[in-house]
Amino acid sequence: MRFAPGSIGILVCAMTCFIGAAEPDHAPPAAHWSFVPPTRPVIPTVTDPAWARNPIDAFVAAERRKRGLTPLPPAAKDVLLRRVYLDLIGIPPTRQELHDFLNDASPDAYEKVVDRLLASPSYGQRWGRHWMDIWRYSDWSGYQMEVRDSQPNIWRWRDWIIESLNGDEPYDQMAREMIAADEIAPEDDRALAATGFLARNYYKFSRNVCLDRIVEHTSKAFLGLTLNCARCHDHKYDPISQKEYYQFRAIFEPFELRSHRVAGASADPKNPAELIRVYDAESTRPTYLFIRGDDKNPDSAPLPPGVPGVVGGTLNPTVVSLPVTAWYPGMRPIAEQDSIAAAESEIAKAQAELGKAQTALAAARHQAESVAVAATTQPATVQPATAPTPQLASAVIGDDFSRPRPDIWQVGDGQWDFKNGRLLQTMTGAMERRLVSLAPHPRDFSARFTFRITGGDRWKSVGLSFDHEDADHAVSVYLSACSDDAKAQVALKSGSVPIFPAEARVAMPIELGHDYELRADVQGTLVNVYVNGAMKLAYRLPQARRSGRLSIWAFDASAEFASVRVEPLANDVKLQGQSTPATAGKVEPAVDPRKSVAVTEQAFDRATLHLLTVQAKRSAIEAGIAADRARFASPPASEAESLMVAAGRLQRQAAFFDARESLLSAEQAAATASASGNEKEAVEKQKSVAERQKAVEAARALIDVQTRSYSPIGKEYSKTSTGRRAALAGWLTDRANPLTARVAINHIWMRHFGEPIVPTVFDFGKNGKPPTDQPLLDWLAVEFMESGWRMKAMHRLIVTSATYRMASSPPVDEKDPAPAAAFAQDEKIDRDNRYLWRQNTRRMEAEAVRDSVLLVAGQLDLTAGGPELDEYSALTSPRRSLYFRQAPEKQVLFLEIFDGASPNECYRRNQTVQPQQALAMSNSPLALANARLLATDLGKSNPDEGAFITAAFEQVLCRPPTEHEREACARFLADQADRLKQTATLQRFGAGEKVAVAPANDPKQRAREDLIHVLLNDDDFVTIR
Amino acid sequence: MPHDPSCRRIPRRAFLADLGMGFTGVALATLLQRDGIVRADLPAAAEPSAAWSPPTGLPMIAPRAKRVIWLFMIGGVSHVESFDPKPELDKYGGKTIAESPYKSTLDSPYLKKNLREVIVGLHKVQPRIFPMQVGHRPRGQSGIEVSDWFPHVGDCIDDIAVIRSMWTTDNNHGAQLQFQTGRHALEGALPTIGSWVHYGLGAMSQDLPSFVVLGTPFADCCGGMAGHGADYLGPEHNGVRLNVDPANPLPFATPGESVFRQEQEGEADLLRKLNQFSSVEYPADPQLRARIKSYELAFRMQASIPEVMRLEEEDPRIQKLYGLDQNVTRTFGRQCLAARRLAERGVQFIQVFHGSNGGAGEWDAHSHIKTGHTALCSQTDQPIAALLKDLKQRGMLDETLVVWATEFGRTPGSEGSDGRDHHPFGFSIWMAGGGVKGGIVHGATDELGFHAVQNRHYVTDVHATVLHLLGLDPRKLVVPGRKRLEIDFGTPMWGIMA
Repeated sequence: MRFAPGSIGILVCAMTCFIGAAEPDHAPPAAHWSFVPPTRPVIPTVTDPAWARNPIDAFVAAERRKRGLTPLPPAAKDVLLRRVYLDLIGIPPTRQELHDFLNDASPDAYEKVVDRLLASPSYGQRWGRHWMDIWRYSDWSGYQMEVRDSQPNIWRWRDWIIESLNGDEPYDQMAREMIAADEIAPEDDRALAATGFLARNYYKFSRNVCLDRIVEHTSKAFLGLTLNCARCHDHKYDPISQKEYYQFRAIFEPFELRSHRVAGASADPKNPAELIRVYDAESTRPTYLFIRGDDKNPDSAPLPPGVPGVVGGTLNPTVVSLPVTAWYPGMRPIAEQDSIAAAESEIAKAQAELGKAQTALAAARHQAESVAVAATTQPATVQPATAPTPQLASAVIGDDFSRPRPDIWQVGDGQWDFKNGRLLQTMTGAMERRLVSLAPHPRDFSARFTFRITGGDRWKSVGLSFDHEDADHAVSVYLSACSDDAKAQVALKSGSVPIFPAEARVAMPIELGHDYELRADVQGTLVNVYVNGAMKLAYRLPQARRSGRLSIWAFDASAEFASVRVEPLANDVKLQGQSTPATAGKVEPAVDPRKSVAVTEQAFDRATLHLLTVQAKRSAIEAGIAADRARFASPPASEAESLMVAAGRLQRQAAFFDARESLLSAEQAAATASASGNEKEAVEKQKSVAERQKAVEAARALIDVQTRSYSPIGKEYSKTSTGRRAALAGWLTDRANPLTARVAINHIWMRHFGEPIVPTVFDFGKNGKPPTDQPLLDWLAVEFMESGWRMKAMHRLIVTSATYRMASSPPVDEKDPAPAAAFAQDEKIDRDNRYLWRQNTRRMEAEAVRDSVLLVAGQLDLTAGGPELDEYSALTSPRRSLYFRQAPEKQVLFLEIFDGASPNECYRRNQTVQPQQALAMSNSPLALANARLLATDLGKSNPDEGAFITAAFEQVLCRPPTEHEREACARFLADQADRLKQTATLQRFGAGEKVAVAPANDPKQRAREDLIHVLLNDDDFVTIR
Repeated sequence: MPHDPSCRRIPRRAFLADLGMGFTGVALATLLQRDGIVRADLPAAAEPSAAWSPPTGLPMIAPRAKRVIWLFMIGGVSHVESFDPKPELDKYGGKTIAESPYKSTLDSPYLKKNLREVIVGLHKVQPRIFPMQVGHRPRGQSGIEVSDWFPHVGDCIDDIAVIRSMWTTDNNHGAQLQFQTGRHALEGALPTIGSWVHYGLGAMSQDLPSFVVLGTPFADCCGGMAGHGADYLGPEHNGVRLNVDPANPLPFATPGESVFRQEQEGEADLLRKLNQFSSVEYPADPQLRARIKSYELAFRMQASIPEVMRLEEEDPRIQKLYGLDQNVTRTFGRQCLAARRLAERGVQFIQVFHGSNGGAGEWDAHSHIKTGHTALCSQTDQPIAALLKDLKQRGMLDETLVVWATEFGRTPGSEGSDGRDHHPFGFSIWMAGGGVKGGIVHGATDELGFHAVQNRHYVTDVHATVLHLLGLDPRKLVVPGRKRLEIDFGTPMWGIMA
């Protein structure tokens, strides 16, 4: 038989329930129930006042009465306790909590439990997970480390949800913060985390997809509207035009994502120190209607932002002026601290590198020398190395002052003149007039400085400094011709006040007009000072060495500099006051010692220069912060200008060091190429050297340019935000919005009863299903709004109602068949329990299953918050389930098996029954390990079998065993122990996942473990009755 | 090995009856009545509907097949480039339909009447005729025209009944769910064909689920897990997803070496007893009943499933036949071979998905149909043909019904320059094996492949055919309080039955 047109008629007719409504243009929009704002309905008169505890019961009783339904009696106390625990905090009561409740005869015993549970931090973890379903929480996912979906650090939003619930933040406030915290609380990091709601929609490959998701799910989650159905054409069922879809999109059009640091010191976007948040980037970015939803085919005129007219109200955005820290996040104190800390950490790294390079160089030299000695020594007559000091590399810094050498020195303030082959400095006064080497000096070195002091006001000091970082950080060695205090001195500067240790001073006459050769040998922290070849002073520095440059200077002295020469100090030279080095024998033989020396020298030089670079960068950052603060102060600080100039100079100086580093690498590469005889390559490399030389010169030339221009340390964003999202948030949470409160309370209701009042939880439109009890829904919605959108109050109202407290199954009593008969009658009338003549039996959600296994075994770790945990660790880690990674294709398998939320969309959980769930409970290491742990624990206090069985039931199932159960379990304990004693015949299962807790050796104890394991698999464990 | 369904019924019943031993009362009666075990002993008044009786698990009419392998191509396979070639497309390619001699196609009452558009105008009648992107030729003794993208399936054409006259009501991918349930995703979930079979026949295999799902199911857009769900029939009738991986056929398949087999058996005995007490306590809890069954099945599955998926045990020639030696065919080949092994072991409904991509499906060829379909056909053609040949050589094809289907066809006109749009007005599927004639074509579309014009079949006719061949009367598959419409039952395709 074929379908004649007539059969098609049947088909179409049969589909009237969803087709018939599809005439949006003709029906007055206000006609649909959900588009009319709820008003508080009159509470129906209760015919059985003893039954009704609060208005919820009155509404439910009225509907029930209409249909001739008889309510089931209240649930048993233990059933109710377990139900309300799992409902409110997602974990069952312990045995002790059960006993406390059963023993509390006070009339408000139950209410006390409810209040305690609502005050528990676990409440936020339970209900946070529910709202994470609705708001589509997803951790980031992508290909390897590439972020494709959602964003790293979105967990801060998860923690915000949980904390907000625990703090009983009003629902409307939460909605406002999720949509527009950057506009309504731009300086509040806690609130900004809420915008993870939007950040979660990030999709690497298409901004259109991202915006479509935001439109779809903002509308489904808060409004119960399928706005997404109007993307390609006017909505088929609801009076929502395609234009309105795009106007809704326009609200979000300007938004972008960025992250800023909230703790710690890292610029890694995946580092947990970052907060992901939204901001409006481009207020003028247009939104077009895409014809047929095709983004390649935009309509011509851009659309203003708007909200669907059918809901009522209008969108009135006001531009928001942002505080400076919002548009210039570099000004946030944490950002400043982090920038400096990051620079410090670079310095520490560079110092460590330099230390390593130093050690490597010393080792390489030692090796090279040993090889050299061995080569000139008869193998048969090895003697202690008394060979003359080998020729060292020539001076790393050397000048005879015959002419200016800008390639060697940075010249400081002073009156400088070249005369008679010498450099004269004639400006006196208590200030160092110095030349600072551009190049660093080796760590261990010998410096010889020949000069003459010709005059001065009082101190008449001339000398050199090493480890010179800046004017305040250096070690100085000098001679002073001060008339009453002539001396040779080692002085320390690590801060603005220099230290002149008494033990680092030798009084000696210093004549004006005489040449002196001041020689400083430095090895590690040991300094030997020679004057005119005579050893004068051996001093051990009280502090670790820093790296730096060499400076030569005159302090309150006129002087003539004759020559200076700095050479590396050979490793085997022993300075006075030095203990024997212990490293000598540990050197690894190198293949080619000379080559190795050259390579390590190069590395050492690079490390030395790099340290200078990062030090310069730190100075630049500090100056940049100072300039930022002055410039962005309100009003700008008077010294802003000079600070900006200074910041610019230091930044350019840092750039110069960067250029020098680059040059050095090129020079070294050229030298290597040249040494290896590859001429072509050497020529190439030489070209690069020349280019970089130019760059260095250019960078140097820029340093002293007087300009206010400097690079701010952070990025500047728009100083205003469009206010569109704030306006949306206001509209959404307005008392007159007909949908928001209804949709929210419907979600809350569903999670207490298993079934919602409006079955289509994300579609309150015409294609959705009508509420089973609209007066109840409306009363709850109005109550919700008028009690300040406080969710805890609504939970309390619901779980203390008589409706909630009903049993889910009739009592089985062979002597009294009435309840069963009433039940059967009710089932005939309302099989699906739409009108709540009983509670619904539910299966725990995935998270509750896992958390409860851990809880009953006393293992659950209730620690709150933090970055998402590895999804593979969920079978061994005792943290609550909602803290494990949840992203498309990255979920905890155990949770997936129990219908865990799809991160893409989950307005309502499935409740399947699958053999895989049975396998997960019977075979997973989670169930096995926790059963064993609980058996050990209970066994200690309950040596008696009967007591053990009772304790096990109470702890695992929150109820005592029935007589049948007790008998069966007692028999099991005996039989199972016997079975386990037959060791010869026992067969093990094949390899599976490792269980962290081994079974007991004692067959009796092992039987007890098995009993607990069975109870975890009992239907009553995963069921909320 | 042949399976006698009537023999296979006993252990399941015995198990359920065991539950009640020693217990009496209304509660137990309700439980057993629900399961159709003691129905006859109850007064008529206790029945929800006097006319209704639950399925016994036995065939209602003489069965022609014992099991079904249901191959579903997700996204919409082009019918004109698979099993319904249309030379007129080449002839008038580039012209609009209105310019061709087949202008009247657009005036057909079918155009509006059999179509419900969720998003009106989203998928237009693509007016410009697009030539076939692949050649075709007559195949086999029957000479049925098959596209060159299916050379291997073409080899088997004499065992196949091609149905060229399918139509459906919706032109978006909610039609994927529709093909399984008879209703579009918009109308919510309903029992799928696999779950009806499961409900109607009960379990034939003691060690395996009777309704197995291989491959990745529909994305959430298009039905998601409801595509193999049982909805109001109850979760125990849901399809069970298995991986074709012997190391990991299903999660937690073993408790590991710290547990003894005898120890688990002891536990299972106690669990059975405790759940039995619960059944008396909570007679009206369908979840409890389902959970009891799920545990029984789970314990047996943990032993049997890894063995099923050990495809390397197969003769190398068989592995090669299914294309396990080639990258392009390996994935789907493994699924087809696993399907055969499951069929051998008594699984009644094996649903194999191909082309899941987290969205509308890989076959959804809005553009680049030539490259797309070429690749997808080369993934599936050889494995599907191998399945037919393998079943045949084992003598299993006579009792195994193989269904190849997709949610709709693709437009005779072009979308963009090189694609075809969704086409619900006429498309092709095929069936082979148990109770079906080979080498026949049933029904036809018009010259352009636009409308199904002869022996038109809505998707539930496929369900009716499957059920009939399995010995079930679709009209008896009803549950009180759940109204099924005329269209939900469908009508068997008598014309293809052997």
